[in-house]
Amino acid sequence: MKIKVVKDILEANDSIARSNREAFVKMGATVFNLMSAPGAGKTTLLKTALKKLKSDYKIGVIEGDIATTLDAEQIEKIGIPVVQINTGGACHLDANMIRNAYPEFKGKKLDIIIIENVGNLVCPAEFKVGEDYKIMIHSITEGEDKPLKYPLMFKESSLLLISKIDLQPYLGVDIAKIKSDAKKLNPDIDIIEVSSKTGEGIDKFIKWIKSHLRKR
Amino acid sequence: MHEFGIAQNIVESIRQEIGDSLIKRVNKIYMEIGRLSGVSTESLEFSLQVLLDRKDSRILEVAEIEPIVLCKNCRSEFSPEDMIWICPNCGDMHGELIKGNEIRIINVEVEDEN
Repeated sequence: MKIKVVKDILEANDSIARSNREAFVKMGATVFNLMSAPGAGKTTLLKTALKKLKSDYKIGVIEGDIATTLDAEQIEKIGIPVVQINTGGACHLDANMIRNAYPEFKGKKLDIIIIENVGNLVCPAEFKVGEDYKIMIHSITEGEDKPLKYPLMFKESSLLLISKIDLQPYLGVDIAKIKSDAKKLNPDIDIIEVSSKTGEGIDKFIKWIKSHLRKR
Repeated sequence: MHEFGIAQNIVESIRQEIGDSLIKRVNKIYMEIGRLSGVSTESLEFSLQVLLDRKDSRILEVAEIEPIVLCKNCRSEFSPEDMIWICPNCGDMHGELIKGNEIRIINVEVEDEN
């Protein structure tokens, strides 16, 4: 017996993402979805940025991890409200997880919500969560071939942060190739080189965030 | 193995449509999968076999969808090889994927009761 079950798996996620987005617009918050491979420095960079932004804006963070609350604890120490999502094995956050998480910010009147996705270069790019912008971090320790190997994330992101730039004297990575391949995949992507260690590029990153906030 | 998460979504979607009792009898799932969806059919098959507890036979029947990109500059359509989209007509690189990233269930086949 054949049964007709027409169901678009991504569309099911996208429709929840759209309703999340509407809720974020209503809250007046601009939402950034931060993605990278494990160990690219998402949490460190996020902490650095939060310290610079928190005096001017009300910020909330949603932390996605497969297990542990280690990242959330670090964010909480800075005095930022944080909601932890443990995906229990799943390698990305999806719209439904975000739908269950953001109501915890109710009444906080946030300007900015930053979602730190699970460390992974593939799946987070496939699942919209209702964000305004995707930001990806690519550390130079990952080498120069990642844009071509993992094209979707570069295609979907509005901003590429090339991180750990202070290590370049020891690595000699072809940063120009990372940039040109990223631009081939996504001609509109903005690119900023950063180092959480030396602070290089952080102000440019903060400026980028500020210039992409929704007018209230 | 991001296919396992997708397989969980597939099984859950089917369960919602046909209910708990029929889901145990599903022996074929017909799907359309876009060539640029990033889904490996082999991993998806394996994950579905595990989730539906059917390691004896192939579950998945896939129709692969060829990708189509719409050039945002000259509005012509073309089929890209990979994720770098250069319009063969005008050379612009701003394209929009209008087909080819589907992960869509079409039909399921349920075993007769015996």
